[in-house]
Amino acid sequence: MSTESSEIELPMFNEIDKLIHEPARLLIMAYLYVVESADFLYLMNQTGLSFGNLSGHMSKLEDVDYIKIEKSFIDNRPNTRLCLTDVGRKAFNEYRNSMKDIYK
Amino acid sequence: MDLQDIKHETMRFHYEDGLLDVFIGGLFILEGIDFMFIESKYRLLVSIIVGLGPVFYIKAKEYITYPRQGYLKLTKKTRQRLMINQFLIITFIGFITLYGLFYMMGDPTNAPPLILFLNKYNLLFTGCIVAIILFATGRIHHVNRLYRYSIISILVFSACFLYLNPPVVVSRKITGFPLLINGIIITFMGAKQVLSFINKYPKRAN
Repeated sequence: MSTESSEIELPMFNEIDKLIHEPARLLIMAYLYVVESADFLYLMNQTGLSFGNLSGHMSKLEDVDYIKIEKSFIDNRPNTRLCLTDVGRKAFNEYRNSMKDIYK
Repeated sequence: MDLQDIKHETMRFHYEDGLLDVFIGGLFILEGIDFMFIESKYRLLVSIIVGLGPVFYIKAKEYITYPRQGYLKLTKKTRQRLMINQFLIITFIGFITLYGLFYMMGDPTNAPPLILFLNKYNLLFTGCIVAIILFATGRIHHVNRLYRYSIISILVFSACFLYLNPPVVVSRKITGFPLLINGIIITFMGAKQVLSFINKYPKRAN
């Protein structure tokens, strides 16, 4: 591959949000994108991720304000509800667009 | 990754519990009983029970589905689209056709040939309308099981048409019978789905 072509393509790849690009987080973001809110159990069932794995990814997404986590009690049981923030929705849209640009 | 596919998968997952099937089957049973046995003065009571159906459905969801499968709230746009589509189907296909065309205009002494034709094959047309409603509901909510019920409805109504050999103007009692049978079959299949759902998803801490 020539140096010239790498110079053309590299900036495109730099635009990809690497936090979303990770497969498990991409799945979490996509499932949250199509709903208004969902709880932890729902995401575990849909993504097939383990409790610890999902918790880790959720924390990373919460740190950058992509998702909002609300903890409450329903019938004396802890319930963790998640939803995509406006920042997260925008970031996910930008990620989709940058991927489309790469594969056009 | 296709977001549309994820959306459809989410809907399928949401209805995997089989409660929608039991709800629809229950409605048919109530309508069938209403058509066959209930006197007009008790009809209001049946309407109230039918009206309370969604409340029972939501309560059943909270008790059976959410502790096993988790909770999800669809987006406002999706919920509105589902409600509008469902409302249009029930209103235009169900109400206008069943009550307007078959019962109010079906005067055999002075009716145009089309109405007479529709009256003669009333049970078959009613079966087709029920099937269309179920099929469209299945399409809107992405529940493939409803396609099966749509075929069962046609079979039940056709069998009743052949077996009961209804007169030209079909009575409420005769229309009620296939509705009741259809309701019993759908409720039974729905209950089976609920049981398999409960076995598949044990209650988990959230």
